[in-house]
Amino acid sequence: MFFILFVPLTFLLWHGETAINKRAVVGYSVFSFLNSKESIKKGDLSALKINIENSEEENIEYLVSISVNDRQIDFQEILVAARSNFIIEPSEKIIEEASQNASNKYTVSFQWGEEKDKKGALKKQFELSNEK
Amino acid sequence: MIILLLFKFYIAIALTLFIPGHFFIKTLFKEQKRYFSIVEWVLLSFGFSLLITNFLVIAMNFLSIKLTVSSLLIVFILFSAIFWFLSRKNQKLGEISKVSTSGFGGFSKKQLFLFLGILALSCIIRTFYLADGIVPQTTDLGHHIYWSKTISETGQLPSYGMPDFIIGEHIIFAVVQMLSGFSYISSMSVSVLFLINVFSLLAISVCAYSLVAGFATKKIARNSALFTLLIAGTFYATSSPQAKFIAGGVIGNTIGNLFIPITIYLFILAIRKKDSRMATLFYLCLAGLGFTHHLSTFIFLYVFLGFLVIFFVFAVSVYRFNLSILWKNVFPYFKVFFSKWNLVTLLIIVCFILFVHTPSYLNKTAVNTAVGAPSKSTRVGLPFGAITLSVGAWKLFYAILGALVLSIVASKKLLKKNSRTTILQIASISLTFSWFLTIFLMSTKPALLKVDIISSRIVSYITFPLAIFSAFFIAFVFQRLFKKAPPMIAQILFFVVIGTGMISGFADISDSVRKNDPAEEREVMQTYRASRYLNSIAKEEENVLKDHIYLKGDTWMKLFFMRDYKYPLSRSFLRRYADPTKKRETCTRDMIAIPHSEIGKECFKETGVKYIVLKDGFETAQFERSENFSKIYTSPNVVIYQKNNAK
Repeated sequence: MFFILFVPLTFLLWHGETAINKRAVVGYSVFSFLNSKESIKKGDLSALKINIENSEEENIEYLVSISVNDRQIDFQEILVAARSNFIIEPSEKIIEEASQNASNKYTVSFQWGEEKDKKGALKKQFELSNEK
Repeated sequence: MIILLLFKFYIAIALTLFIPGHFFIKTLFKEQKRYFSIVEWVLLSFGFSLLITNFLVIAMNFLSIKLTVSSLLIVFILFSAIFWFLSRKNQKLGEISKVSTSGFGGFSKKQLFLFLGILALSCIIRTFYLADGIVPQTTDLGHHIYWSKTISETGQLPSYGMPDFIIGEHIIFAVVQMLSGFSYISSMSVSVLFLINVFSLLAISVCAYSLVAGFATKKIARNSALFTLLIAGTFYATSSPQAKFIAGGVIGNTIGNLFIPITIYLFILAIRKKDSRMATLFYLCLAGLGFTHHLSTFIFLYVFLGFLVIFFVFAVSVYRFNLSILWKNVFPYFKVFFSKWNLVTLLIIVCFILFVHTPSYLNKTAVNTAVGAPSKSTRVGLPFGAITLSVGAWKLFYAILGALVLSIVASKKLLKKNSRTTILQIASISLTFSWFLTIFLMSTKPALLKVDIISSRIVSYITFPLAIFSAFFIAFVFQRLFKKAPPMIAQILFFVVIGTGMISGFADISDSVRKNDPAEEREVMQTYRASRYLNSIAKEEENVLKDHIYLKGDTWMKLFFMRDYKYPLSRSFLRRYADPTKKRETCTRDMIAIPHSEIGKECFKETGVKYIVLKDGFETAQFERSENFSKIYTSPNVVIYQKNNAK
């Protein structure tokens, strides 16, 4: 009777632990950015801080581009190691350029993934913009 | 790491769910091998350990002893050591009881092998069902585990401030978590519930034996116990109140379904043995039920009242309306339950309820909401078809046949006047009938019994008595058939009955099997990740609103904040806001649906909500477009918006 209970109980606990750890790290990335919209809207990118958290089990290459009026003013290739995070803060030059175009459209875009589309951009992407 | 966790988990389980009860029962019944079978012994050790764990923790809290790993270890080890010493001391005195065995252990080798095989199959079915979707995410479990975590973090028992929760639902998880070190975001809670559910199967099997042995032969009783285990354990094993309740975290019902059969078993055993110690255990078990689940206690009390009525009617007719002879025959049993020691036990229980810890539902308002004319459409009773769907057509059909056979047996037995044994027979038959009939009436015609509780919740309790009735029918009829009919015909009929049961019962399992969806589990983990992030940035005065409709595992979010049971606020299912019986708050709905309206703005001001957690693409458009909200967090499925101008 002891084994009848012991085996399934151990299996449930072990399976639960491995499943939770696996799901916790595989399959998604997280972006967090405090005050982003207000920063972009005001044209003050100095407060913009973007945290990219790679929760996957492999290194991911993120392409981060910042566009003003659809014109790319900055482009970075960042390799974020598996299960780690990376904080992006715009450079002085970009902050200054953005402030001169405060009323215009700003886009901060992130791209990542292994496959590229026909234009050469990585397929998965995420954008922040001051547009409604 | 996992090996160490598992090791600590088993130590915790042994310390809280086996050892204290083992030594307690051993002290009470010095000659345990003669009194109980190994199955009964293990069952009682488990049930009473759970009960003792609850009472020890409540007592520690009352004495202002902080609940920590070391204090729990000291108290549990001390308790077990004291009772170990007492049990040895009693044995040394040579006070060996000469009582006979309870009878349950009289299985042949073949029957014992079958018993263990059915138990193993029951465990396998449940394990596979629970393994799919093992990441904790169900609503009820999330609510309950918040309170267990509160106990672990504060080191004291919580004050709920509402009658929905009872302390016995949360103590065991808190203690096992503290002693084992498992995270609450793990399969620990489901595993403990699984263990409780498996022991409830043993309890119903032992209870079936105890009841049937009261009015039929021991052979029929043993076969009834085996068939009860087969029907309750393997047929419809994943529906309510079985594996579905474990996965869903319906803690009160699951523990209630352990204590109700044990209580009934002890009651019948106290009558059979005329043993006041059994009556003591009966009272303690009933108290344990009372500290664990209000609905289970309520249902047991109704069943017991029904038993008293049926018993009185049967007994009066058996004794030809001669009340003095009836009393003369009942009095020895009355003395068993109201012996000096049992009166002391009852007094201790009453004092414990009054002065140490009063269950949260014991107040006039809570009682009034459960007793009276049905107040909602969900409480007016279920049609027969709904009951059939709920419990399984095969089980219901054979249970009704079982009830008919028992009626015939009862009418034959009860017409004979036979002093001592008749009281046991009357009690066993009355209690078996009452268990079924009372719950059946409570589910179908609650107005008759003045019951104002959701009928679909009550009906889940009928599963166990139905299993006993159908098992009794099979055991009784086939014992005669195998004796009187040609063996071939009896065998074919037997396989037809069990085969149709397997088809019906296993089809139900295959219908309800959960699909293992890694994408869904990933969504749950994203909700947890978002909660952890939000907890790191949200200040004490800043409120959070999350969406219960689309987010997966959202009720578990409160475990990451641990600020209040109602933190974060939750947008519920829309039908909940249209309640004709009372006015409901609508801010949680309006802040997501119409955040820019005057009502929405007023709600934000009133509630102090600064952050909104939604599933990406589900009612997020108004926040994406708004100048008043910024997206501050995103993962593939979960997004968080911040209200820019919140103060």
